[in-house]
Amino acid sequence: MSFLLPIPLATLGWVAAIAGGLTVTAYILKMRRRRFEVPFSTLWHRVLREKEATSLWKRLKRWLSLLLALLMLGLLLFAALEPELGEQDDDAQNVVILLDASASMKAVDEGEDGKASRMDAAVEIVDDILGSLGGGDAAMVMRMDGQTTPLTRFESDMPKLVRLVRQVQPSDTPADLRRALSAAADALRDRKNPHIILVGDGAYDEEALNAVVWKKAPENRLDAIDLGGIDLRYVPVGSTGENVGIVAFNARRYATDKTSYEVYIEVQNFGKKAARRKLVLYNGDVATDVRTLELKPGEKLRQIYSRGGGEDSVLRASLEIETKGDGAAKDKRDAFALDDEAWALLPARRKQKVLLVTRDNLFLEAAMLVYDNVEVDKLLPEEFDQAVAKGTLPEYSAVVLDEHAPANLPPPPTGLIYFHPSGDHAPFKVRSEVVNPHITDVNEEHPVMRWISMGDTHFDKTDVFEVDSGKGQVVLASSVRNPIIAAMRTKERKIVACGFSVGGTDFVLRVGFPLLLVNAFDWFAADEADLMTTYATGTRVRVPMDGVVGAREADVISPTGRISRAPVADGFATFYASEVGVHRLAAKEGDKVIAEVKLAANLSSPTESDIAPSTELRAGGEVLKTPDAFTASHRRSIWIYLLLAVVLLLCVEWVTFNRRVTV
Amino acid sequence: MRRPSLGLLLRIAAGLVAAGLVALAIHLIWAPEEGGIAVEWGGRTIDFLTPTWFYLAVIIPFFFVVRTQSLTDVSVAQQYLATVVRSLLIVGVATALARPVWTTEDDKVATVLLVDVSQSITDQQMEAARKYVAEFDKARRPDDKLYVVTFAERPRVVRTGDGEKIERHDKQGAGTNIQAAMQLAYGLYPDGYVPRMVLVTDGNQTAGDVLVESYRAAELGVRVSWKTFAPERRPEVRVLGLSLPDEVKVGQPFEVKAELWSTHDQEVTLALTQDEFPNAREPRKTVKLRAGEKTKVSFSSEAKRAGHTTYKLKIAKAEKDTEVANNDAVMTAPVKGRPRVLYVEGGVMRNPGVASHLQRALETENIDVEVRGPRGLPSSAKELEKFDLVLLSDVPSHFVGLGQMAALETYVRDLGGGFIMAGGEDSFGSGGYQGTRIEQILPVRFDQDTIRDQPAVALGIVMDRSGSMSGPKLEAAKESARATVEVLSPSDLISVVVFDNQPSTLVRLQRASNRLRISTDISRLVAGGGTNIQPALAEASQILQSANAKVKHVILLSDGQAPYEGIVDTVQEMRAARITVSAVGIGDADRQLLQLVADTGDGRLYMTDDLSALPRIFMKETTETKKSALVEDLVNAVVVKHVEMIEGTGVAAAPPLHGYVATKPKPTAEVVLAASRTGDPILARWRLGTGTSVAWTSDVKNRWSVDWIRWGGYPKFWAQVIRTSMRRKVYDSYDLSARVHDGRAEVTVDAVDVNDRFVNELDTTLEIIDPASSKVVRSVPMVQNAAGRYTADFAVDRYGSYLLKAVHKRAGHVVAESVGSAALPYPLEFFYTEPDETALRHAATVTGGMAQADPRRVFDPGKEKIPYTQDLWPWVLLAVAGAMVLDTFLKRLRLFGYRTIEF
Repeated sequence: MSFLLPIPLATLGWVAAIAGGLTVTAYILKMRRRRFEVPFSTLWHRVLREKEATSLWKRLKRWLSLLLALLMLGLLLFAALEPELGEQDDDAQNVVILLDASASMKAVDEGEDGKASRMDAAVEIVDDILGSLGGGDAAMVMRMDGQTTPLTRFESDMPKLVRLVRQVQPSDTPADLRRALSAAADALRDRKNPHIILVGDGAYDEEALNAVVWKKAPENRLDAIDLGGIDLRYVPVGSTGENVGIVAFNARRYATDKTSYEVYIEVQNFGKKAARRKLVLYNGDVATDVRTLELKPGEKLRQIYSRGGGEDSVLRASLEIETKGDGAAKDKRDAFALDDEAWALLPARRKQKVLLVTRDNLFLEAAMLVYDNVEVDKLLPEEFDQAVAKGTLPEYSAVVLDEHAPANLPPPPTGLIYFHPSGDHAPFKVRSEVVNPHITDVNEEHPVMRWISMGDTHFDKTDVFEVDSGKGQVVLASSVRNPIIAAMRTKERKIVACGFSVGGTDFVLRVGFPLLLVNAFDWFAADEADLMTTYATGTRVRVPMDGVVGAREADVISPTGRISRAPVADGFATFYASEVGVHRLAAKEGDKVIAEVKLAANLSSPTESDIAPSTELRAGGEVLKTPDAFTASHRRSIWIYLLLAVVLLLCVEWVTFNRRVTV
Repeated sequence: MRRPSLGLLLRIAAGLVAAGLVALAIHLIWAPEEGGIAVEWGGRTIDFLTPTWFYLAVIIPFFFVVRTQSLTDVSVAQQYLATVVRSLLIVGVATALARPVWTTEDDKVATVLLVDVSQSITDQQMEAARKYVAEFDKARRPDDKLYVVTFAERPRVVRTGDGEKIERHDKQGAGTNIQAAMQLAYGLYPDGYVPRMVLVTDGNQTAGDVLVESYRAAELGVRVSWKTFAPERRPEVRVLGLSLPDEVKVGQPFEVKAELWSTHDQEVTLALTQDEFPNAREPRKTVKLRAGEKTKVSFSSEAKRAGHTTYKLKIAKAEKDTEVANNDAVMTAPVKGRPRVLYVEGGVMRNPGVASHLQRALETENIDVEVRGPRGLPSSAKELEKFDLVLLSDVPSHFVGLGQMAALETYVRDLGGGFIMAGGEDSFGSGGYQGTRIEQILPVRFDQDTIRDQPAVALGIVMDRSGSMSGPKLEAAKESARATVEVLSPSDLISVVVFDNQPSTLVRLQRASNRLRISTDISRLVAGGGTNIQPALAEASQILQSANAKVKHVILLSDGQAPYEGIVDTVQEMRAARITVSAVGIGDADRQLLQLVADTGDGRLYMTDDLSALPRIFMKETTETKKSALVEDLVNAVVVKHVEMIEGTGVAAAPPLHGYVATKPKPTAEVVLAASRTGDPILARWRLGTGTSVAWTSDVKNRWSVDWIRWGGYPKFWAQVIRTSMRRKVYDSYDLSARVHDGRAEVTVDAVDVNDRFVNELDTTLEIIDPASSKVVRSVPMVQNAAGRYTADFAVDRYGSYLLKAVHKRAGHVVAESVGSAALPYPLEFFYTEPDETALRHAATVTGGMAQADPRRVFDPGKEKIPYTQDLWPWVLLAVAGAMVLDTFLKRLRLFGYRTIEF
């Protein structure tokens, strides 16, 4: 036997000593004799006779009474030591309960009235499972959605587990069964009688189920989930499969015509009955399109809107139940409301004003004409310097400086492109000059160099920059470790510099040249040409943070206002959405927001929207059974039994005391 | 025994009712059976975990009932007081059993040490880690707890108390997943302990993301510290990656780029193989690597065949290296553009090298050529679909069955394939194709009314009509005779002699223009009798000798045995009279006899069991006899129409051809080259359905094209003819990108058309192809989730490269294909040799942990306290113990005087 000692032994000792002492004292004190009212004297003899006959018994009664009182006290205080019996029972089970808390568990189709959520039903089931475990069994409950989180360690204290389970709320992410099963198997490794009980609605990825192997996985199979020796059971939850949901919704801009975009919506009827829905598209709060969709069972309808204009706004698609005849249904959402709404973002789009500072370079001018979103002004270098000095220069989004590196620059955040900058005010220090260089490396990952090929480009000569990556400077193109094109992002503005002169290269005659300018303008305007701003919940994505340098974290403000943090590395934030709606990512330097991105997250998971519960689940080719009743193993903790004994004694002693068997 | 009084019974009944009321009250107020209940007390919330124990209070009325029967003499007031205290004892015990808990704080520390035991950890680092764990064991306070988890690909809890040691995991070292280990660790912290985590690792992860998990750890209040041990400085060189251009074209040189990294300055020799063979252009390269720097190396290469090509780079020789598992990289690239031509050459049976002239010429022009013999034409359009063009050269029609012809037509008409028939003795009309589907799909007709000055033919058909010929044989024979008439020019002469034991003239010698009459006469033929060939040949000889024709020929058809006697003499006489004899045997015909006839008669022997082939044999034989379509003379190919097909080939200056097969262009055909004197088509083409069909009436071999083969423009001319005639690229191609991350390949196709519009609503399937076997190992649907964007992902289940092909369909028809590749060349574990502290530092910052954690400081809680759920029941029991003392005193001390006990 061992003791868990939930209260310090010394405290208990003191209490035992005082209570025991007082109890004994109570029995040392002599009580006055009982008073008898005797009607006539002859009866006195009877009383006296009784007294003589019972004097020995009376002494014994007092001892018995004292012993009983001490026994009850002893049992009580012994229970407070929380004694445990013996070692772990060999028959005891080790159970990991995977509690599905994914989005589909928000479906409301449970209970007698069909108004309870699947999550509530699953919690009840887990409650029952925990209740059926024996006292020696140990259970761990893991919450499963896009991530897997153990709620506790292996516990035999089921009421505590029940309390935690009751606090579990479903998220907006699909279930990642692969991760959950792997984590459960890890937790059960080397434990006796291992079980995994999966409680959920069966909306899981088939691939993960098929990856389960029951025997040792072949060594060359990388994707196997090894559940060798583990008993996997499944308890289904859910009753209806009727659901119509938005499975895809986003807006995508055309690559060249950046003022127009296409909105893509996909709605699917997952039920077995035909359904009728009203699909409303909102731009901000204004409904811009309403359509009535008739969907056959299983049918998927795509709606594609080709639009122009509209920028930096939030689109929302909403599905509402529409009934024929007399009015709309009372409840406008179906059993699974989460996929009845989805969000998409239209990126900001501004016409860019660009200033060309040159002594009449036709190549540069011509290259800019291909870009219809750019308005070009032109100044001579002297005129530019004067305008900057006088502060009369209008606001430009970018300035292209051809063979000119002025001391005074236009105010930030105007972006700057330099061609062959020289002198003290060049953005990069010039290390050397090379003649007839060949471009050997192009940094294709940088947005400025996207789709640009410089393989056979000829340069008469070019300056070589000194590039310091620690200062947020990056090499965009180089000739055998000699940086020829470089970019930098200061706290205030972005700069691109080319070491060569526009007149001394055939690069200006190639498609890559206007593309380089266009890419640079887009980079200045944080206008990622092909950035998708809509993601699925539960997926981890790398989001470009407008090329920020130095920031290591971004605040993530969720649609419900919850603020969390996301790591930023190499200018990319790792974003994970657990809520449906519009999120904001803000990379800060100190308190100042240096880059901000808005992202929409939708459920976008047909697996999750298909809420028809799977009554049967196959994993690794085997049908998963429901759990059997567990063979109750010995309860190791005996304090409850001790207290029940105390209750029994209290009752018995009450009778004996009142009937004068004990005193 | 005394009977219980009515009063007692009433009291018991009242007690039971009271018990019921107590239960009801508890149910109404708390409904404990529906789960935990919470009460506010002193500003704190107390939860009862098992509140159903409160129903124990139903015992309370029992005490009151018993009190009514009390024999004690203390006052009634004291009795009631004692009963109440006794009831409180029950309430107290019930409260303890109901498991009251509240949230409180403590500063005991529980630390989980996560010890990396993957392959990237050296034995020396492992030993250091063991010592480090031992330091933790010493540093902890008595109340603190320490747990150890070891991890590689998967984590495992180590029970150090049971003497379990920190060891490497069996067969699981080739991966590191710190995130999974952290997730397992969350489940180890007991309630009421400040959770601490220490990562003892080199920080190199192959799966999961420690940085992302650190944010979750921060949310869960776990401080993550870390410790790395410097590895002994092992020399190491590794291949970081291999990259190929997105689009590789056959014959076009491109660069295979490799990236390498080395711990030391050193020279390494690299070996590049292409599809298991050394890369032809640059098989090996020696490069200098600088310590700690990435070095890019380019190899020039060229893909020879369309389909895909797999490159493998290996560090063949390195001066300083330890781990060899990271010395390879593999990548597969789809290769576009090299056409595949099926060249079926009839002449290869006679001269196997005859096809090599064109084959070599085309291969120098980057066209794949598969040469097959005359029987090699596939019989299904599906098989033909593998080729971009089929060239049929000098293949007699009897080698090409009706099914093959139909497949060829489908291939051209429906599948957009290219078809060229090249001339020769056995092509076009002289190959027996007159009236066939082949003639229908070609841009020229085979009748030769342009060559009327050619000598006329007198043809005698000698047919067996013995009893054994009855049934289908005879019908086939009749059909053959009729077909023969069709092939003959109207001015040609024909006679049909039939025989059993005796010969009889079925069709007297007459012009072939009398087709109807001849056909009627043939229809009268019935079977019966024995077989005697010689008299029949003699009769035919006699008939033809009287004919006025330049070419005289007899076709003998028989299915049985016949006497040899006199046959050789008869045939020799016929040869002397310039009458040639061919023999056709069907079924069990006496091959020896017929061979003798054909050899002596300077003709050909055909043996067949296939009755359906019989008419074509006759037609072929007849055409052979006529030879009238062959123009064997020097002829120049004159450009009739300047088209892209011959543009820039210099064909106008080409040497003369030595012959061609005379044909006539069909009305809608496009004649590109024509014979200089006659204007007969040399090269003609037309569109047929979705494909192109071309007639080249001269040959492609060293008979008529002997001067062309020597001509420098020959390869270019033919490459251009083939390129312009072959199957056009039916399918569009969209950009496919793939990356392997965390054990999964994520594939994206962006379908954007030439007008920059997104291509939507495609039914797209991703085929995952094993380059080694070229087999599709898996197919997964690609889901459209944005305008023009289709995505799929799949688990990478082995090391190596995959070729990816996305097939886009609309309404069941393929409309586009996208190709790409993905590779996971070797376990990423071997990619690393140096500790990577970047993510670890960040994780420690995020969670408030320590870098290079000191064990004593890890166990120092500082001001940190952990809120936890504390059980209150033991304290309740202490209160109950106090009440129990009071209960005892209430029994033993008289407080409010006496109660008189009446006797």
